Amino acid sequence: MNRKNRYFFIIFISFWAIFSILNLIIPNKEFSQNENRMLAKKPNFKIQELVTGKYVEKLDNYINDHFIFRDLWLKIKSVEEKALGKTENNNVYIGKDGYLFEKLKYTKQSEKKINDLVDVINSFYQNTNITTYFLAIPNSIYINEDKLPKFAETFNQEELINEIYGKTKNIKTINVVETLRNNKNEYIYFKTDHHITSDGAYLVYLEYCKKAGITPITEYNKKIVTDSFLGSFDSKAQIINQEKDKIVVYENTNNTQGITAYYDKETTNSIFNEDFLTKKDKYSYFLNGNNAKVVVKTNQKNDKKLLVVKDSYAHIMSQFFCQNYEEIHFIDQRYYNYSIEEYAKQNQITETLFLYNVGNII
Amino acid sequence: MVFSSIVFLYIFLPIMLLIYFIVPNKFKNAVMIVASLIFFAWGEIRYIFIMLLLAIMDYTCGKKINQYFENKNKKKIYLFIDIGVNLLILFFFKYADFIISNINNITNLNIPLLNIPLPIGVSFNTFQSLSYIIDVYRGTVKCEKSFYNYLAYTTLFPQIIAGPIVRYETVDEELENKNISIDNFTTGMKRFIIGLGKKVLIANNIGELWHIIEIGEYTNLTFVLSWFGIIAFALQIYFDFSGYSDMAIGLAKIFGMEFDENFNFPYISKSITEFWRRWHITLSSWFKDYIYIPLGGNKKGLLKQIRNILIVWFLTGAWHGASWNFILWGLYFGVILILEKIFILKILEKAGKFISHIYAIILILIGWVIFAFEDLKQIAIYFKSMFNINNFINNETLYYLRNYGAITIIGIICSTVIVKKLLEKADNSNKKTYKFFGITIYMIIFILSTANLVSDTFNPFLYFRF
Repeated sequence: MNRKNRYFFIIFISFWAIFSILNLIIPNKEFSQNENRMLAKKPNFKIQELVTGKYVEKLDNYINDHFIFRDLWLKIKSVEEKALGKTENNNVYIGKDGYLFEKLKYTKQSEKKINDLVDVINSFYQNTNITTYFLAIPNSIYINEDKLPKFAETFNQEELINEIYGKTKNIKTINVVETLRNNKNEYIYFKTDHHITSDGAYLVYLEYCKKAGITPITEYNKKIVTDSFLGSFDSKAQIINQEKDKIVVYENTNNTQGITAYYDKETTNSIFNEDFLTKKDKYSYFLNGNNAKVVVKTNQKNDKKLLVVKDSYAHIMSQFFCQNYEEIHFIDQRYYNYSIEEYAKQNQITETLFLYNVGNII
Repeated sequence: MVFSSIVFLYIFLPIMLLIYFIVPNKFKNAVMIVASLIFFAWGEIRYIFIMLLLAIMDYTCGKKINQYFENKNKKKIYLFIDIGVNLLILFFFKYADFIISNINNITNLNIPLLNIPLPIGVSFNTFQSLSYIIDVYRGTVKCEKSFYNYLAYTTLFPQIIAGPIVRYETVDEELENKNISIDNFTTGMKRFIIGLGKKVLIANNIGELWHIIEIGEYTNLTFVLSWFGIIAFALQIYFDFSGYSDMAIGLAKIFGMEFDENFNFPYISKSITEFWRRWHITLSSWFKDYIYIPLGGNKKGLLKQIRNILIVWFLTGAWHGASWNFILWGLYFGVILILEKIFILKILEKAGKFISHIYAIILILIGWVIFAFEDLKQIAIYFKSMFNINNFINNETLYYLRNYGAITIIGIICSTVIVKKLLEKADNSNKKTYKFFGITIYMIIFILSTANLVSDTFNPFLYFRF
């Protein structure tokens, strides 16, 4: 052997062989804690899918997802991006002060999506005559626009929200852009996740109370339940040494005592689930993560029954809805396939709130 | 399957190599054939039978031509049968819908399109078969006596999906006797790693920017962004394509075979004539040897030469895809080459290196705009931005510069000979520090490429139209 090649041969072959062999023998994980998602499943062999190439595509995905030391490789990629001066990774902007933001684009499909939603809300009121609120919560990327990386821009969500509200008929719309903007220096959005924090949710709650004509409850015991939350943005962007988020809860007797919560698969006596605090998906601490339907019964005795048709932004709001309602019914139309109008009538709902974040509306 | 994937790098290749090196010499081609079929079937299983049938036909016609070598008429029949069927297959898959839609446009007829997906690598495959049969007919190569060897040649997986076009004469002896050694393994592996890095680290990263521009995900295509964008495309296609060729050449070396070089730093060219001696060399020389020279080349007067150049460049354009923009792109270069022959080269000689270089780069970039968009209207819009200095720059453009500036500069540096010379120096040096510097670079490229592939970022396949 030529001497000059000997070292390369030994080093390369050792590296290559070790990784190839380990990859084949180390058993696969099903769930990635780090990315907070189920990894691809081994595809079932179908002759049809083999011919169309679908089978191989799935197999490729499977092999990629389960490559050994996956988390380490993602970190290496993230270091590379940083070294190249990238201020985004995997569609997530890496902003100032540790803030991450998902790029949101108003696309051609957005308009249709918006009109469909407005139709659902308008006809809900028309067909049920139940007092209906509509609350569109702006995203961190808009409120914290000044924390975007240099030269990055985003669209004006305030204008969009007003435009959407303008399309509703007899719906009580709630505008929270201003109050959030006035408090943008507070910790109202998570840095690593797309949700608002409890502080942000409290501001939203105050605006909601104003519109609904109810007296907000202002006495709470604020408690930090975790200070090591890395949310969805971080999972996508895989930032090295990312500052972690705190999750705070606003507790009082209204949301901790006498609660019965009916989830899709279980019934408990709390709207909080501490099991999730030891997992990656810590936001699911609120209202047990994604359920098609959750019914919460509180110790209030005022016959007020609120139906919240929502996305996950409503989960952190649940601690406040417990202050003023005897029953709160949460429905997520991504998973719930029945008529919400029928549901509202059957359950003697007294008020309905459609609650979505702008990123989910467009 | 593609080289730039985890399944190839960490499952297919190690297992295949292990078996390949263990089995005795006479079974190496068998391992190669089985491996090639698996490689090809991984994503393009439908075409495999056609490929096998074509191999049988090419092999048979080759033998027949050899058998009737003294009988001009008979051997011509077999030549025409083989060329005819090969071209028919190519036309059917690649150009049928293009021709139908053009007929529909001109005549207001409504002939339904066939909508057959183009099998990957069919153009490379056809050109290899044609070169084999024509060479056998001309008597410049001996016909392959063993079907087993011919099949190994025609399915040879390193080149099967994106070239280079390997002529039979390049590998005929190696099909019988492979030159396997640890030295060839390391040299081949290094070449493969360079190619992998070019594709995964440079082409894919720069390609992200071009992708944004191609699909129109910007709000304003400023003057700067349009130039930045087309430079990104130029770098992406060069590093992607030459990276694939490097990987193919490196793999062949590992298996004990030598392929011809396909790229030779095209962007350092000082004229378009030079560019086409450095870009996709195996394709240009194929057209030269099998079309241009048989048509008379430059031996029959200037007018005939111009005609021949235009025919060759019409075909070169069409080879890259069944769409008018590719044909336009080919003819664009054909015309420039004619003009260069007539007078521009003389002017450039006087103008000096720097001006010549700028001249070539700008014409190449303009060419890429034509190449990049199928829709002629989009080409026009893009040109408009490239020459509208009033809409110079905005924040969005600055954002893209901020994010893709570094990788673009790396790409530009790597498209010159600097990095190659540096690595060669490290490879050949006797000093330990230099040597380990070289090894470290190769390992870093391999590790970073793995990280990029695992994280499943932008990894397009650009040759599905070829």
